[in-house]
Amino acid sequence: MGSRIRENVKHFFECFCELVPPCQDREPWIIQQFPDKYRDEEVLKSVPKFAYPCKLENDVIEHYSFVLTDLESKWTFGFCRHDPKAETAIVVLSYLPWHQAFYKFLDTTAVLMHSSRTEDLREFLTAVYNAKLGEPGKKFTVSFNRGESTFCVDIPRPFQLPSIPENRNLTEYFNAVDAQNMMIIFASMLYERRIIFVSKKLQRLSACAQSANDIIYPMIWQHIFIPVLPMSLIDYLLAPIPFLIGVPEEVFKQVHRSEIGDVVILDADTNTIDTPFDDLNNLPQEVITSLKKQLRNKSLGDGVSRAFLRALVQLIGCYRDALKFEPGQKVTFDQEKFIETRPVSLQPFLRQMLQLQIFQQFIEERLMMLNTGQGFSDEFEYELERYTAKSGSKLKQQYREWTSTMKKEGTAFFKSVKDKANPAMKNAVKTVKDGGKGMKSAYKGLRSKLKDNPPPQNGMSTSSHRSAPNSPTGKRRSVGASFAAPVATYRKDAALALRNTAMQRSYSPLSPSSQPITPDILDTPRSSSPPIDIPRIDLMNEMVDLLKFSLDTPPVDRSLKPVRSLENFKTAGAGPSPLHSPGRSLFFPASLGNTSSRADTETLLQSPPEGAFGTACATVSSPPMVPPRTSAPPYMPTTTTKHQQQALLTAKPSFIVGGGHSENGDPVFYVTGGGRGGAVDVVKLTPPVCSPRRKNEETEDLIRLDSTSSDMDDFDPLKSKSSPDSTSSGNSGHVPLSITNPLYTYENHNIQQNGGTASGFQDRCQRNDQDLLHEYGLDFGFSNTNQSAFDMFSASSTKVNSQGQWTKFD
Amino acid sequence: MDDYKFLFKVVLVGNAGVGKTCLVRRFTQGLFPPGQGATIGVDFMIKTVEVGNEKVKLQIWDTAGQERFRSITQSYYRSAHALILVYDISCQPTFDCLPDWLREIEEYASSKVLRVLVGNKIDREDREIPTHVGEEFAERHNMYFLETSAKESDNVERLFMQIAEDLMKQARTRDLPRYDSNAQSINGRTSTIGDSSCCSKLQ
Repeated sequence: MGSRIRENVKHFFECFCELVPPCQDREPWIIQQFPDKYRDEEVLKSVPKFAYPCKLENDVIEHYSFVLTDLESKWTFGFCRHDPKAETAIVVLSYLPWHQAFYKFLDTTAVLMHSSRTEDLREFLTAVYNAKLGEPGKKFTVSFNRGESTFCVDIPRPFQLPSIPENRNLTEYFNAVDAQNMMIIFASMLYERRIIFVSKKLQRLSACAQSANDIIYPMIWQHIFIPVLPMSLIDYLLAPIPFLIGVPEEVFKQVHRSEIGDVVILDADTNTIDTPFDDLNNLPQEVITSLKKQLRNKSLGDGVSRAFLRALVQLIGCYRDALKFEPGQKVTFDQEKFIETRPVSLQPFLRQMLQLQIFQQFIEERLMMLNTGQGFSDEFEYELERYTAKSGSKLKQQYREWTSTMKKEGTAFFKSVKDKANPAMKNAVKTVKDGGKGMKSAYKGLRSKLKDNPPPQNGMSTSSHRSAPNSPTGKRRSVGASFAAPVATYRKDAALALRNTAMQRSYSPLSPSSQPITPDILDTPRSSSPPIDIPRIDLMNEMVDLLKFSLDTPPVDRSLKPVRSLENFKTAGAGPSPLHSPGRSLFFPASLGNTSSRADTETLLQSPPEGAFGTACATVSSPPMVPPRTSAPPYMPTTTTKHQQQALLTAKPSFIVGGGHSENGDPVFYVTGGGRGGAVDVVKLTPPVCSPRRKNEETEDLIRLDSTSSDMDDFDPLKSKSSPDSTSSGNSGHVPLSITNPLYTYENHNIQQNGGTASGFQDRCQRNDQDLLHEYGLDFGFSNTNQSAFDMFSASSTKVNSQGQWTKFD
Repeated sequence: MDDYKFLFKVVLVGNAGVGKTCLVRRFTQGLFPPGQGATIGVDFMIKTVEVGNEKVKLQIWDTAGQERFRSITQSYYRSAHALILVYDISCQPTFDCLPDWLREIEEYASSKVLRVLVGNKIDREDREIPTHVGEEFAERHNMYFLETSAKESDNVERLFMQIAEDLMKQARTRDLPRYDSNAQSINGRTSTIGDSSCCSKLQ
């Protein structure tokens, strides 16, 4: 596998360290760590170097990440927080590349370090360390501060494309470097150059390096990867092998250019590139042209990531044509065919491509996925299918045949699936689920936000929707209003003793009488609540947060049917499609452009039925936010789609311009009616009732099959794919403005199921599900009648073998 | 930092566990820098040796985790002056893989790159590959051959000295592999740039 991220990670973090900066001739060092049992000396020795890679001059709090690579080439991420007012830096090491989550974690930790109760920090670290990691797409929640506060972050989904502004790294990269230079770096990475990023700011440096790697997905940089290079490792710039290294400007000053040889240098502060190569122009012209066009048009959301993903689809998606399926043998990749089947103009590039490590690893990974029965199931493959519908179906046919042969012959080709302690079935289903998730992430505009921020449960999270926690600069604000007032002196947890007394002496600030440290909490706007205070509105971020906040809970529970809101939509709405039946559709019908919608909105907001809360807010606020995501439902005729999109772009919709909390904690939103001179209405909302969620027992087993309905949800994008109505999906001639939204079909499906009305539509849905499984080579033979089989399976996995259909994998 | 007249980059390849890292560490005796292999994924050692009256600096690069690659492509060999292919004399499979390694080297590396075959771990009692077998293989493929023991330090010094000498000969006849357009001006002048201890000097 080409992945350099560890799998089966047990803990949120591996080690938390506090470090003292270098002074005079003394190197920086770790004064305390948690847990004490973490004893990887090589790593602990390196942390100080990376935490203080060079002389730092930051006047604001800075977060950045560094990367350590172990002997298996797997990455350990170090997330670092420098507060100019603090005496020390804090670092958390983890195997998980969850930047946003860890910066939040560090901020929370920084606050706790100033807590009046010295045990707080250790208790928090212990709680987080021991907490079980949940499923992708869910939340990782830990309560602390004696249950008064909650630390809550999202667990990223697999294959989720980074989007702006949620992904801090990409946002930073996008802000620092223009599209042209991003493309040059992209091209240089495809040629596996030696690449240097330079910046004064460590934050920018690490963000750019991380994003540059994210952008070549589905490939992964296989070479030296050092997002922040410490002065002491400067010699790595002489490496004769490819690298991507972020060099702080301080360090770069020490480098003699002539020594390094041919290298691509991006100065991220000045947005300039110095390269001896012409890699971008050596990419096929048609790819550059369409990439340029897309980058010009799209920046918000995953537009940037997707533009590059599409470029890669154009460049290497044809790998599928070179796959050889021979019954009884592993799927193989035919290099000659890979080149010969392509237009002459592409061939030189592809020949080059074959010789690249990142491409080879990519092919290896794809073959492994196919040979273990996982099929074509990630974001890249879906994008590929959107790009060329026909080759996809032909290939899948081949793969299906191949898979069925393999199963008939009972060979051990799927043994890597079987080997995993349990049931091929589980893995296979999970794969399809994951596939669904990957697909779904294409629509994450709205959906991924559903689970983003929890409803306010305590002081800790009340601040979350008021500011912009996910904006590039606003991340430092997870500070709870419920914390005790910070103490002025720097306290040390007695339990976390200093390593030696000599250090203590030499580091005076650690004594209680030392100079007061202004705690972090004072640096950031407090979130204690004046009844209605309109925050300094960064409109865009504000709405993103609102969206997240408001969409959070309700849609998770599908049993709550927002009947009333739906009725409202219907009366207001356009929905000419008969299939657009009641359901919590996230799509906002054409009423969005209606000036009358203000009234509707108000009605909705004032008396939201339980569960409709999210819908109402989403529909009001999302379209102006993220136009590409408010895509057409698959069952709607395309013409309507276009019309609606135009409406979205041209009309002045009503939307929420701000939000806050009233004194009793109820959310308050400011709604402006687009056509009415920008009048702002204050609308009070009652908080949504949290639907009961199954918690721990669900995370025990990643593949609970008894939650059939939500599992089916994951199939949904695929289903929409196979729907004859989704005309926009296979359109390869131009890049579709939007992608079909799978949520509709699912919602319809689900609700009807819940309602127990067996309609023809439902049947069709289920047939589609089956077709999809077929299509992906995963035929478990379930039908309407044996859906309960899933329940049986989850109830007792030992029954697997008694289910005739499922033993096919054995 | 020493002055030097030549700088050569040497890349080690071979199966996991054949003792590549030990070999390099033995040669450089932990002089500089202390191994970062466990945190950077690439270990990198420098040793300056004297050949004739000239100082030659050897940079030896040892990439961890090569085994995850089914094959190593050109970007790996792109700017190396010498390749050391290592196997373990007490482990037949590591020898059996040599043709695969060679195929890649032939395919991707410059034909001028110096190739050395090293049978490591001669301190082991359980030898599986007789010396002559290794020799014959090397001869057949036009490689230098040496057996070493990183543990006992046998032949390690000799190995790297030999490489330094050969590369210098090549450099003098301007017959070094050149991959990049202007990198590695090997036959450069002696330089005396300040003594920033963490920056090696090329040229």
